[in-house]
Amino acid sequence: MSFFNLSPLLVGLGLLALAGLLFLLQQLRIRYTELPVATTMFWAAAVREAPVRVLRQRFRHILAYLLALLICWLLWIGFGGPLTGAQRTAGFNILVLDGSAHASTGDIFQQSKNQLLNDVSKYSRDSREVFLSGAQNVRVLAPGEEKLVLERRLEEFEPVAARSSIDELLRLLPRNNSYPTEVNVVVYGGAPISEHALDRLPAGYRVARRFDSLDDFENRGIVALGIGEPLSGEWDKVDVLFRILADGLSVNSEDFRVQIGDQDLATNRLESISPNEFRVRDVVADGSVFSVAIEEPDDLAFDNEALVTLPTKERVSISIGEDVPTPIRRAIDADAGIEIVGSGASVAVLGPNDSETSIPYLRTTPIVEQSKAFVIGYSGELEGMEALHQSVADLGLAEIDSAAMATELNQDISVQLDYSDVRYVSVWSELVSESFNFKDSMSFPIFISKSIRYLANQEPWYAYLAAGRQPVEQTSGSSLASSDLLAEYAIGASYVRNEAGTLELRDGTSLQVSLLDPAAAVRTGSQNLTDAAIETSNSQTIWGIATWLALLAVLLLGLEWYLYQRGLMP
Amino acid sequence: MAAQLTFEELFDPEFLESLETFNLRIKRFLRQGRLGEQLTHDRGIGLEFKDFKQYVAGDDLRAVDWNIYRRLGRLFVHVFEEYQDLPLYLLVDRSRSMFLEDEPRVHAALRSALALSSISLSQHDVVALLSFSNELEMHSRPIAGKKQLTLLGRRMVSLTEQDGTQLSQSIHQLSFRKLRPGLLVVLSDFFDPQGLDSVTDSLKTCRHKLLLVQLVKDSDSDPTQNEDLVGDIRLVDCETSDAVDVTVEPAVLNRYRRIYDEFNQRLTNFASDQGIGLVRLNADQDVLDQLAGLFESGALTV
Repeated sequence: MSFFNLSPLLVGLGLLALAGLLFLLQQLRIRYTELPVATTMFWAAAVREAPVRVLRQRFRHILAYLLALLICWLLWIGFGGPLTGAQRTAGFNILVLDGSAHASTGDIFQQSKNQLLNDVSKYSRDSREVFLSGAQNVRVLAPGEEKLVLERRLEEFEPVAARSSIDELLRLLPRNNSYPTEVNVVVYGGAPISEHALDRLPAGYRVARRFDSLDDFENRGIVALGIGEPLSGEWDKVDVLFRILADGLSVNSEDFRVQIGDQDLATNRLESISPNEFRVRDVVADGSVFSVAIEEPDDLAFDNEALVTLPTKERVSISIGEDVPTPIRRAIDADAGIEIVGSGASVAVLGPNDSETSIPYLRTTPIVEQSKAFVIGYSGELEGMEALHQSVADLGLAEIDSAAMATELNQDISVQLDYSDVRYVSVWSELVSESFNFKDSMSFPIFISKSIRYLANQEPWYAYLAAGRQPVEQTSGSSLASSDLLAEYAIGASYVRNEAGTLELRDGTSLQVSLLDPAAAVRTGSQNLTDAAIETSNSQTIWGIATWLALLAVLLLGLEWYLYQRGLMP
Repeated sequence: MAAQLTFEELFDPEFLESLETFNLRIKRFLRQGRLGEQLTHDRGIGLEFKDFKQYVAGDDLRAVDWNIYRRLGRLFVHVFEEYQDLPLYLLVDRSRSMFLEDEPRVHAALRSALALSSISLSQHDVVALLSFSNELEMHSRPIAGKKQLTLLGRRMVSLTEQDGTQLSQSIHQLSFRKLRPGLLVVLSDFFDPQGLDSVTDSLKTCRHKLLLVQLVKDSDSDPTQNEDLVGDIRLVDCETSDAVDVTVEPAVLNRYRRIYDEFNQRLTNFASDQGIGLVRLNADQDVLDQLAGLFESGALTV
């Protein structure tokens, strides 16, 4: 038992009790019974000849000495908790209980937990640590803590709809300098461990699996649910795609139910792309929840439902100047997501001679007045090259054939980023004039459309939200998260939700997060991990013996006290 | 402390009747006595003819054997055996150690003293009762006559415990008293804090014939018979209040027994060397039985 498991009050009371008990024993030991006798002169002479305690004399009471020695040894062994040589050299043991969606199948979790509780006491208390790997990795038993604590902590826990975090745990473990070089990681459960995570472990780390049951697993699971721009090009709609994988069962469109909001989807709108991939086209992007549910029960319930929050797409209101080049005006007219308003516009489109405005604007400037072909007024929080890269991606400039432009104009085509309180995009007038061929390229309307939406600074939406995976952020027009740069900064690691459910954002909006874990839906078998061999000669056995030894020592103490009181031993 | 012995308990008629056949004799008599039943070495005027001797001036003319004078012409007188009385001085230890424990030694001492008194008075000797602790006290001057036994008995039961054991000093004090030489019977446990040597040295100076009656108990020689004597014990001397902490264990017990045996052996050797009578009476056993053993042939000769 560790005192860290007790309250300070209990520790204090225990100290007082020990102090009182020892005091009583001291009193009992030194209090002589007074006995009047006719004379003490013979006793005095006898005691003078044989003083009670002298240093360095032959053992006068060898049996009493052996009895006391035995008691002390038993107590020492009992409380010392000795380790066998094998245990002492076996290194540190980290036991990981899988509490992810993988463990929700049948009674795998309960069996894993029972196996863990059975095994944990077989290690010495100081050489083992237990983690629960659910949505997060939580240490549920620190070195030195008692097994009883672990039982209490695991009592209320059930598997959660989350991907396995064991890879993350294996990534973090070597960073803990308190572990010795020899570490045995034993996984209880069938959660997959990536080869990459195993390969990254330092030498001295061994990973084994103690309990893994994959027998008779039958499941259908939704492993992907995402939103994309509609193939129809309609600005206020999205296409939704989802994938269902099956293990031991077949996938039929009759087996699942699709709803948008509270309304069931008409059967004819469901389009099968492949035997296990389905698409719903032109779903109105009105912010409602799109859900897919497998109604037939199977071995894993967590992946039988997936939800995604549809974006809310709104038209961009713009004002347009008198001097705006005709190609730009035509591109704007062709974009149904943009409407020209007289007042209340969020973006202004200006020609070279149009007057300045206080709202974000797209402007054409003569080549003689602007050194760079594209000048971006940036008001975001990124700095330097990161701001430039993101702005180029946002505007779709990467898709422009700048080399052809440079050849035709006989000028370098380059981009300049200026920090500004008001967003703006300024482009050479010559590039967007009727006489230049940029107006005929496919990238031109995209550039105009993206520029206006970039200037409108519309809220991004998420292509999908899967538990434990980086969200993919999108704005209307194209998938901005396809960029590695944006993926890294899109929402931030701190926003990654590991468990399926509803994600509340700071602005009050809520987003649906689904499990979407192919590894949980289909069991392809766990890694080629060795089964953990738990020593049967272990500290629990030692401790069990030690407990009996301590009890035996107490009995011997009682015997000694009896003999002492009977005068049969000094 | 044990209950005081009552007169009725001490003055047991059956006990006294059993003593009628006992005699107390001494081997070598002391002069200056009065007529009594103790045979002396003196030739006197008793009834039993002993011898003849030549007449010298001063001899009683009634003892002249005139027949011899007629035949031989010389004067011889009859010499008769002379019997005198024996002064018996009973010196009882009344220190606390004699009154300790369930069957105190003083009970056996008093019964023995009464028995010796009865025997002496019945053979026309005189008996005096003395006691000692730190001081010598005389409770009864030498008295004679069987009727005085009651008086002695009452004096005996009136003896109460007192502090200290100063036997050597008491013997010394006794020498200053003008008492006829007689038999001094010392009834004591001889646990004198000044040591046995002090006691024996003082006894050597005593001009009386001595009979030492040592009152012992079973637990003296075998302390394990005392059920309270186990474990860590603080032994307190009942007279001096000196305390000795003892862890009762076999080794200590063995040493105690050896030292106690040495004490007894020294007392025995002293008595033997000095021609002193020594009797050990066990206070835990019947006094009469033990006296009967001593008076095997009906007489105890000191």
